[in-house]
Amino acid sequence: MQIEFERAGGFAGAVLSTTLNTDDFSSNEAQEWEALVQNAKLTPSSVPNDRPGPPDRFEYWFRISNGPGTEETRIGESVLTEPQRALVRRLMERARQPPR
Amino acid sequence: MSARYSLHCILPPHILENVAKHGDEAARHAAIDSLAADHSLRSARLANAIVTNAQLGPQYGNLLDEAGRGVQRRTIYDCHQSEELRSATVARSEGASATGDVAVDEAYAGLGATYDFYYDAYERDSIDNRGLPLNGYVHYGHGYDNAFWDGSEMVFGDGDGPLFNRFTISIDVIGHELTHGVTASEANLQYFQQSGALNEHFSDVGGACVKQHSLGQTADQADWLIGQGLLGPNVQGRALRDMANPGTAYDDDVLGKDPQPAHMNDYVQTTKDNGGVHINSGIPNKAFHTLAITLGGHSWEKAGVIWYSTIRDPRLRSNAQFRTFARATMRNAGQLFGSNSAEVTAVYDSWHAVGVTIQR
Repeated sequence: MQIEFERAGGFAGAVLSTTLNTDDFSSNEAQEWEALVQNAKLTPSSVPNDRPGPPDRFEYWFRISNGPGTEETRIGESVLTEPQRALVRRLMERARQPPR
Repeated sequence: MSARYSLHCILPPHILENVAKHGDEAARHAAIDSLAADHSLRSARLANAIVTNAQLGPQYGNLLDEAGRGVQRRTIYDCHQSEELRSATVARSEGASATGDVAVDEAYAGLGATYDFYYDAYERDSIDNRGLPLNGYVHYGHGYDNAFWDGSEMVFGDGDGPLFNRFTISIDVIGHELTHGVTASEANLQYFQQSGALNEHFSDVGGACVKQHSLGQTADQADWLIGQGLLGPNVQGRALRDMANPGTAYDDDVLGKDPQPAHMNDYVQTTKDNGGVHINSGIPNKAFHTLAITLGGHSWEKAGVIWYSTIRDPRLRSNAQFRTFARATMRNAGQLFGSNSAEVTAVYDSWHAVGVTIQR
């Protein structure tokens, strides 16, 4: 499973991003990531791209590729569910790291 | 029986407003009817305010204006790292002494400086011009990298540390956020694409003017940085945005490079960030900076007052694009300083310099 992730918007308006492929992880870690994604129940385009959002809130974008299937989701910070927050927290830990 | 005036569709709302306030009785009624017939929110608000004043009579209007105006009502709440505002506790209320919690005290001071700016510069009584009490929530979330106006109050995160410091650290961040509240109660620019970039732009103007006003700086003395001090120790940059030099505020391994354009030639088409609202705001930011430097003195006294009256102009629509906004600034500059004034020429030149082309 490949996970592409971006955080845009916020007061700063700076984009933080990370990409990971669970094939690169141990099977335990890979299962952990896959479980986080399953629990987040990301439904394609939860938020339309063409509507005004609330000022200075974060906007999260995910692209999950699993075999031949690819799904993109964009979610505003203010409507994240708790399992989605858990996934965002883990992805943000990676996005804050300087590139190697 | 009084003669009926027909003012529909002839006079713009701000002139109707004048007639409604100062015309003879028949003209006043006709003006109020005309304002009410325009079903936009702005006109409804305008008509309500005029009717209220008209019913009470001028002698009460003055009393209403004086009583309680210019009085701050601040409360700072501590979220204790929760993202649930309802569980926050009061940390400092109006008139209380400093707490020693730097985020609480900075938020208190920043809300005060913003209130003072709008009242001193434009006689605006708080965000809604009706004395809205200002509430600030600090220590929101764990290492939360943001600050926002949620429609009725201000929320500040502590920042993650390496990338972002606490969001109360820059007074212009506080001015920026509260100005979103001002915009919401005036032109209500839609937070999407060009109208959204104008919304962001006006918040940066508010933030910069609050800072300059608090420091007593003139346009040429100011740093024109937004979020100076906010970037953490690991970040290569001097601020989040630079109104004088959009696109140059930071260049960093993690945050990337400041993406703001300074000219329409470099306008960024994107679906991210509500259509690039924090990106393309660089273009009007540069126009405002150029104007403020050209006109000299305090930014809020000439450039700022033109922008402020534009955002309050009932003819400015919530979906305004850069060019319609630019035309509105020309019109307002003309009303404020005269249509052949140096100020109008400077407004025209400033927009032209960033590639926003309008007729004179």
